[in-house]
Amino acid sequence: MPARQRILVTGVAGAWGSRVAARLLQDVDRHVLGLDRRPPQRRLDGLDFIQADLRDPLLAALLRDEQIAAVCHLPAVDEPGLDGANGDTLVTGTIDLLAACAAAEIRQIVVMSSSLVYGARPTNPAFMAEDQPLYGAEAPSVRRLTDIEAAVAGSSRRPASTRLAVLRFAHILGPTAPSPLNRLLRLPLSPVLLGFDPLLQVIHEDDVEAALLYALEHGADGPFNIAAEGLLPLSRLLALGRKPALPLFHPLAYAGARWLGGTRLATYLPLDPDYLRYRCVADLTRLHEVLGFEPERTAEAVARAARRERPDPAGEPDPAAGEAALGPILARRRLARVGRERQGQGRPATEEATHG
Amino acid sequence: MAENGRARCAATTKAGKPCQNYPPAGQRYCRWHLPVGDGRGLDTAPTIPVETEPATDGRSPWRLDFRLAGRRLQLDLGDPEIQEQWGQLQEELHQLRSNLRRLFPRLPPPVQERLQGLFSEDLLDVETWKGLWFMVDYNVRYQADMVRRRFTGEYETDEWGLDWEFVDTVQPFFNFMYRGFFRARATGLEHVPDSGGALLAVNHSTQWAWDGIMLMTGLQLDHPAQRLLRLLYAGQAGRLPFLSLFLEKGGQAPAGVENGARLLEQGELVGLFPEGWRGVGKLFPDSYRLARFRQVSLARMALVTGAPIIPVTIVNGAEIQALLRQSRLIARLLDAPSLWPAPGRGWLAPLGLLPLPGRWTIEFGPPIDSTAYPPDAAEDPAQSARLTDEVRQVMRQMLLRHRAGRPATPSA
Repeated sequence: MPARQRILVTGVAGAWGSRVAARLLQDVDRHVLGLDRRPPQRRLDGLDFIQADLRDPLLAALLRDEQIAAVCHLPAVDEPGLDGANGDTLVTGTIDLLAACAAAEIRQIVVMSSSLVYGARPTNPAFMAEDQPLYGAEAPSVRRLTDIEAAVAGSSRRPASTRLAVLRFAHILGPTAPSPLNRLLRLPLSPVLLGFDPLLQVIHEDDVEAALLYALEHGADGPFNIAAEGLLPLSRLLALGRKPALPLFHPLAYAGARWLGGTRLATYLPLDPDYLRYRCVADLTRLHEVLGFEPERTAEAVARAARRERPDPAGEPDPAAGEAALGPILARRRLARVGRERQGQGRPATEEATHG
Repeated sequence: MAENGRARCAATTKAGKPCQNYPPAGQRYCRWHLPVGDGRGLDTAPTIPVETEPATDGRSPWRLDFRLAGRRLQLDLGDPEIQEQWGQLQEELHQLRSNLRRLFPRLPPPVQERLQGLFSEDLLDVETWKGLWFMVDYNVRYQADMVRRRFTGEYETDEWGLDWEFVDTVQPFFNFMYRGFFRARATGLEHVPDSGGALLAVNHSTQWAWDGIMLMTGLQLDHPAQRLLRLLYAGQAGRLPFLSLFLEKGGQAPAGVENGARLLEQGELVGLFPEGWRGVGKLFPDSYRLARFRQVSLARMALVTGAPIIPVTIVNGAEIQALLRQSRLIARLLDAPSLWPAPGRGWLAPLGLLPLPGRWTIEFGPPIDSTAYPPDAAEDPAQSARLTDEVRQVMRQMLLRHRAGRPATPSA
């Protein structure tokens, strides 16, 4: 019987981590391990959860011992509860994760990022290719992503056989996606800047999931811009989604953003005003020619779907999940731990299985 | 002629050549040739009034019973009262017409004839009013439908943000400015190709983009292929509110080698102001002196794509708005470059926005072939500098010839 492919998903407690893990778990040929500092809130049957920090020095050992074939890194930069003080640990965690992957010689790494890292500036090219320098923005979430991208770019010490794909998604829309534009559209009045109407690229969250899986399965390497076909002016996006807009005079919007700061900013002005002012559109040539992935929905279809959708809670937390499956997992962990201690590492293993 | 798989418009332009524009998705004709009512998004087809039935019940044959815009109208012109009034009206109209000359003796004859035509027998013809009502009704519903579609997002923009309905709305004003206000004249239009990418290098002579707008309008009105010009505007202008919106909906693109090259490869007509900001901020005494060409993007764009460069000079644009000083306050307030032409201080300052009606001349020179340069010249700064210099020399010659009053030499 062929060995099941073992995939590690980091950031499993976040929305994207749990979603991708759930999708991967549907395939019986795969064994999915989830890594995060907190347990996932969704019920994920069959997930091999490891509660640990990415910065743990034993991570390389874990990767080697568990014979991980691919790592899917999904930093939860967009979720208001998970960022803040923990935000900077995402960046250091990514650096450490990549170092651990290099040490363990992982074959495939897929990192989820956003095309917001290019930055919305008036002097940017109209269609930005992947080799465009990343300017990012003032907003904390985008700044963190830019730092993560810089970490990825700087991790050149990995072996040549490793494929590291960075997927830069456009604005993600859908019923559950926590992206800034989605939160903006969910406000009772979406703030826009008076006199500006930039063209936006969007993508549906189902296509994001499909893209992440596609990249894992097809051995993607390098940065890729991923977005749905077609560009929408912001006014058209709001009109198609039947969302009322609140035009703000732009110096006031910038002043307001500076004054709000922190979580209040995430609530009232989730998207940095620069992205409501200038265009930040990525070129999709590399996606079509090299990766060969086609999102199912066009931009217009995504905007129309936003009209009908109601926001879904991302799945109820299930406190009584998986106790029956805990036994064999605990036994295996114990064996692994004992094995490591015998090899003289001398430290109690930090991973413990608390969720099935 | 579908090169990249997309079919072109199936119509013929007024020059007799096949139209080279791309139709919107699912249509056979481009938006210029799209027949009215064919897929324009009207939710109800306009109803044409019909049914003038002669009455069969012995009453007068002048009974009208028709539907117009969903309403039913009934008129009985055979009624003796109405007939009497009708007869009176006819007489009065006849009197008015024959006495018009006496009422307005000072009017020139063509105007008098027009006036007489206004008060003709047609006014008493029901068909005239039906037709007028039909036209007004259709227009109102078309506009209302367009506004409704704006609010529901049922319109299209291309990947550069071009919105044809916006262009349609503002074009009549610019047409008037071109023909009526500036009385512009375009010469050398045969040098602009009917299809395929071409790069227009234009000298900057005004503030507030009037020269760009007039160039666009000139190509729409006077060139047989009616091509839309895509100007490359300085990215910094995108920081101004509303201006960036209008530029984008008009299909213009921010400046940059990548943008220009992409547009040229798509077969669009691209316009570029090589002098850059220095051209715009020129104070009045410096007009018609070509500022130093700021960047090499002109040469690189042309060399990378092999498109011809067509030098264009616009003359008499500078007198229209004399820039005497620049306003820093406005610049700081809007977080944007200062573009305030002010002929005076205080109350007179807003007058700077009004252009003066000077006569314009737009001259297109013969195209400069960029394929004459070796293929790797785009990376070679010396070659790009040579090409830029060549373009600059040609434009200087054109400007000097105009200032000396001599007409442009015919293309060799």
